[in-house]
Amino acid sequence: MSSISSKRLAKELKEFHSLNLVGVTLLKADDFKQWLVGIEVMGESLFQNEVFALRFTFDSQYPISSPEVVFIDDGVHHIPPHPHVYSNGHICASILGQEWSPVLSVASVCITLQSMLASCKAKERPPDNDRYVRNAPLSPKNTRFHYDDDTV
Amino acid sequence: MSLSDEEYDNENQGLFFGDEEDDSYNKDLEGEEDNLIVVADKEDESETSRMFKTLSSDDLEEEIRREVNDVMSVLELEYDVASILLRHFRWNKERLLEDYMDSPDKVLYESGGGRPSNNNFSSQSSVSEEPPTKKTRTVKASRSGPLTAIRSSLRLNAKTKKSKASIPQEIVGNTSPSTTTCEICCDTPSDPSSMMYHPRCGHTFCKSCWRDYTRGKVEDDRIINVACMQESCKTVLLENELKELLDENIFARYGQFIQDSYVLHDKSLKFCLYPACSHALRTKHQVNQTSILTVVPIATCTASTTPPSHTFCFNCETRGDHRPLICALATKWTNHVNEDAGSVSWIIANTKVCPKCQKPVEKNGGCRSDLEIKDASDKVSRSRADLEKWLFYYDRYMNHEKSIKLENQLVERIEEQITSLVNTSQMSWIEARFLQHAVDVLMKCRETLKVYVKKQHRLMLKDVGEGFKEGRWKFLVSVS
Repeated sequence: MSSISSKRLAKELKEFHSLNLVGVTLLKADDFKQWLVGIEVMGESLFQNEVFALRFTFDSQYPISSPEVVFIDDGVHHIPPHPHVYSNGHICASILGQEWSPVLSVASVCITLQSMLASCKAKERPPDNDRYVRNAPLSPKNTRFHYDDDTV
Repeated sequence: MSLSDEEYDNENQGLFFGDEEDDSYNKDLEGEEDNLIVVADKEDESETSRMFKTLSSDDLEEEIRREVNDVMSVLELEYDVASILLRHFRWNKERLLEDYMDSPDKVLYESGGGRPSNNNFSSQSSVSEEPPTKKTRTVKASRSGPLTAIRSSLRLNAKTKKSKASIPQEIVGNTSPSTTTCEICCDTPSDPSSMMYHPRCGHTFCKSCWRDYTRGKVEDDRIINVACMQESCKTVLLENELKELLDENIFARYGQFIQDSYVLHDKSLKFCLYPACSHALRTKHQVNQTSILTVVPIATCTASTTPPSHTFCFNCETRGDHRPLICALATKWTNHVNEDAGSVSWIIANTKVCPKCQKPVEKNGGCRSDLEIKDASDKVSRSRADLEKWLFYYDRYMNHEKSIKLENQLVERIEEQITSLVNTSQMSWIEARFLQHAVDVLMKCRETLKVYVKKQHRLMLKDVGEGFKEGRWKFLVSVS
């Protein structure tokens, strides 16, 4: 792992603790390869009082290349039923793909996803869920999503 | 397994009898073997050179420069900006001019071509994206740090929003107004003036991050309009900005990618299909759905003067010359061969034809089709005959295909042969070229025979008189 990504993640980790984001908790961050983050939607929403787990996987090119971010189902947490979240945990969000910018960070991704969940109007899977999940690559970074919804 | 007549019923049945190429085919049917070679005679070659123009990489660059200059003078923009706009509009000049006349600010903003002063065009949601002026730049840069993701479009309630809004100053850590720490790698360069870099939008990061970023975008993602690293800053880097950031060889490839995109978006342009040939061809043919039913746009790239000639079909992008078959039929044949290749070779390798019922039977067992013969309807026997015929053509086609492969090896050896011939005999090098020529002719013949097999198969399936069909079939079997 290159020093840039380690350095940057070390800094992010430090800031993460000092930020004390509401509803975002670091579950596991032992190394600079994979982090687990718990997110909870605050305020009134369809997902009130539910905690979900996000898995961030960083490659050596981080932050130039985007992290791989998926919801995970580990028994305790489950994958939120949301029109932009596939049942395998893959998330269709432009900032994780095409619109990733190196200035974004783990914290900003969490906040964006938090608001994505908060604005959810119906607990349902994407319309092409079955087809996608059947053929999905292991990492969502290998999927070319078509971002069609600008409202969230 | 075999092509059914119905499959072809949808197609225009009269296609092959409408033009002159087909006349030669009608003659074939009468058994005049001399006419079998119908492809590419002299007239065709001059026709080809009239309808296609080969463009070298430099020609393309010149053409692109002309296009950009055009836009530049009409819209009174700088060259680089005009270039960004054209690339954004996928080289569609008309649409660009139209949209630009409508609302120049919007076009400049969306394409990322705008000068910072033009970037003010934005919807209310992107207030934070306002390009900072020199004076406020550093402050802005720190404010639009990682948390710009919380855009006003996000539906956070007012309370949390407020608490978040105060965060960025800390998260970025750039509390001092002079940005000397790169937000991305968290490095603080010793000499900020030479190690920090910002394109014209003013978003400052360290040079090595810019280098990594632009290299990734250009080399891996092949993006030709590389936007600024700042989240939601749409400003596209100018060519001279990229030149400063990219290694020389990658910048050269960047120029190549621009040409690629230019060729890709122009329907009358295509790159030569042959590997290591960087020329493009422009056609005067109207290649569209209806025209390709009657025209076969076979192009020859003039970049290659030695064989094999760079001949390919401009429409279906197959190498070689598939005339007189039109693209749809040639593709059908290829697909059919590809689909069947596995099963047919298995049938050929593992079955024998049952002497009684003519059905392919696996070699390890006897014929168990006594019952089936009784039940066999006309349909079954017809499909059996179809299979047999298809195998007949397939076999011949594959033999030519294999021969071509072997002859390709021959081409490689022929040079040695010529040298040894010159050394051992009195022959001059030029005289010895006859060997080379012979191989060329042989290759050409193979190609022609391949197409001939396809055409014969097609004619076999066509709705001609049953008796005539049978007669031709017997003739074919006897000559092969």
